[in-house]
Amino acid sequence: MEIGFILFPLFATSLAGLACSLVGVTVVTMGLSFIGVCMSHAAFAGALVGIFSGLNPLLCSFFACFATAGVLGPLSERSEIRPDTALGIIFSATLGVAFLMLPLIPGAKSEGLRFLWGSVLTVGSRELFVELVVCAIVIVGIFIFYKEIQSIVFNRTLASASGIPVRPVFNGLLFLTGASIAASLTVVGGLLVFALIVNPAAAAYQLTYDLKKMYVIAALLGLASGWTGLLVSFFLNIPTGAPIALASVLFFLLAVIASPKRRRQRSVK
Amino acid sequence: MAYIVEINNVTVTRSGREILKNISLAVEACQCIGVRGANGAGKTTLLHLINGLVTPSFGDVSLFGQELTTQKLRERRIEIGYVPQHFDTAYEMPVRVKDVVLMGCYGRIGFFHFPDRFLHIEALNLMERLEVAHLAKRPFGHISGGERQKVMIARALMQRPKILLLDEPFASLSDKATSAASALILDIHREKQLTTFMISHEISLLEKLCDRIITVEEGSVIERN
Repeated sequence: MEIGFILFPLFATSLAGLACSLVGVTVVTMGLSFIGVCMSHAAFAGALVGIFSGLNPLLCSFFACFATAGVLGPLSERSEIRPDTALGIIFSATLGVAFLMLPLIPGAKSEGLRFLWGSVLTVGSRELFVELVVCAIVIVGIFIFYKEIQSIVFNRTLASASGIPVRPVFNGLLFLTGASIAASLTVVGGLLVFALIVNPAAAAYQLTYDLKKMYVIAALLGLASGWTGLLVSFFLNIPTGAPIALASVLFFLLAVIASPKRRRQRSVK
Repeated sequence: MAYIVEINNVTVTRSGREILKNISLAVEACQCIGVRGANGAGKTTLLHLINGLVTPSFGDVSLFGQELTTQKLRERRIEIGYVPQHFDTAYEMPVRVKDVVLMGCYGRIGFFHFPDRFLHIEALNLMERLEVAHLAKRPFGHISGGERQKVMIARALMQRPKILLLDEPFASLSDKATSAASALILDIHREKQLTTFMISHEISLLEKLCDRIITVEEGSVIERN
């Protein structure tokens, strides 16, 4: 029983760390970090709408993330709409819905709060299975479409001009980001899951000029953030979200200190 | 006569302004077309019209005898190599020079395929011809503007295009480098039997390299004899 008590949370944080950090590489290299923030709050809002309406909160959070991806994809192509303004509106709408729903949830708020702060100890086998499937799709997808992703990360217009189907690949990446966020919601919580998307990838960005290595380093740092956060939450008896987020920040700061890019810029000056 | 590029009465409008006004142009295969004109005249838009990055408000564009439609756009773009005028990238972008050159073949080889050993050799050979092979492992953000242009030319040639669009390819190069690169492009144009469009402000260079020179002036195309 004790082993099972540890294994489920360990697998859950590992899968969340892996999936989120891998999709985070595209988010960071393409400067889409605020999209990650928007989606994480959309996922949280979706889960609360699910609880309020008696539907499956996990399904609703997936739906909310996919709906956000469906809006953000075309939005990113429209040059006449300022993306930061639109993102700000989506962000405020999703957060507004979330905090509107929270007090309206019938009965105890603990079910809603577990999607806010993260509650890895309550992750069940169904949620773990969903995480496993999403993580597998992310890994296989990045492997199979690596060259298309690399081209799009480098320059979307040039990728399109050379015959790469940019729109389906880019939108696919957005949907994968949404799926990773929704699947990781109960591990890290809606407020902080974007930290697992952005921070490990941002740390990896500091450490390498090679996109393949960036994926590997981001994945390792995502795992390390998850395990460190889990350990801290276990000893301090607190929800996992905050320690995981803070662990990822710590690894980012260490990466900045150790960054060969920073050292090179100093020597160039 | 079969034209490889046909532009028929095309107008391109952007934000309510006509960038290109009712232009027509017919280009035979293997011709090298020089394009000149003042800044903002519509030269780059003309190139974007050919590779479908811009769609006409009126008129139509035909490539290889077929009208360019949305359905055929991706197939056509694979056959068109494009070298942009400016190319800024983040200094820390995690992409190396050789990766950028290899990207030229990604659209051609399609999904679920990876560049094999022969494509890697082809990329290196192109880089050697353009004298950037020594930069292969360098991060792309760390090379100079002139080096980037050569790398982008290598990338475009990696597509094995039938049409080559060059937007001021020598703008960042020294006189010596321009002379070498222009000779190389002429060699490759003839060797691969390409149809080439080249934008440049250097009339002497265009006269040396091109079969025809057109001037884009306030959205209209004027042919110079």
